[in-house]
Amino acid sequence: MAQELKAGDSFPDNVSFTYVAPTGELDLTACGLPIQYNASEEFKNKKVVLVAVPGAFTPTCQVQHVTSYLTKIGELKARGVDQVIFIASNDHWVMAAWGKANGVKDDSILFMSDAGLAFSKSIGWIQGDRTQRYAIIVDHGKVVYADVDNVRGSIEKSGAEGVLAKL
Amino acid sequence: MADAVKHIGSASEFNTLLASTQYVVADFYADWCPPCKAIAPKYAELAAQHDIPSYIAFAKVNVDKVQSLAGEYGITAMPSFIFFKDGKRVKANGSLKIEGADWPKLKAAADKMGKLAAAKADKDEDLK
Repeated sequence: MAQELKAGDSFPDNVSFTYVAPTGELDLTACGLPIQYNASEEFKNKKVVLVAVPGAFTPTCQVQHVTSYLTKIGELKARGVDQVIFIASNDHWVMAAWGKANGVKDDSILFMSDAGLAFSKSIGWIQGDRTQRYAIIVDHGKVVYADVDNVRGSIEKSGAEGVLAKL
Repeated sequence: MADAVKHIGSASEFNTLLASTQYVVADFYADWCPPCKAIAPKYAELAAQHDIPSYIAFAKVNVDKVQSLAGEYGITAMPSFIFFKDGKRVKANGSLKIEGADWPKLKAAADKMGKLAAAKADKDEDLK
């Protein structure tokens, strides 16, 4: 039975995602290495915003969601956010391409795969074979905020502005 | 002509090479990575040009086959070139790690290491 996450919970153990290391300016001369990211371990000593989107390159996700974080990344960092991570059911190659398409050349925003929807399923926030649109703030292992946008096309709960208000 | 490149199949093989050879250049690559394929023949040429057993070796490490080494040396992009002297990581011509198929940088670093190794070999020969 999926356990929904809420503020005050500890971020669950054994959560990992895969991603391709960004190569930034080296795009033409280097290939990023696919890396297994042990989220549970990494989140223990960081303040992280984890954002799930139904799909890379899909309309709302592309036009509003990622762009909201791209414009607010400075403010997020000013509030102590160490890392912003976008996840979706897409594999890590698609996620890496999405990051590049959005001009993200460094690790300010990482694009990772929730392979097999393992994590999203565990917290019950999936829709068919995609994740729902949600955002989770984890501060050194503790969930500070976790909410889902249930209104189609809305990023009120999981967009950068909504998340900034909770930091 | 024999391939002067040392193809590393395991972490222990790599450590043996580091212990037995004064200067080592290591190329971390993947079979599916086009820039790695592009620079491979040039890397082989460098090896052929500079290789001196016990003094300098050019190794290739396939990151998919020897994952522990890729992790140990913090490899995130391929190809990555790192340098060793007496088993320890060093800078070669100012580069601690060359990321990407940067031929000019790689050649400069490899040539410099090659020169140092050849000089050492000559000196040891004189002392015989």
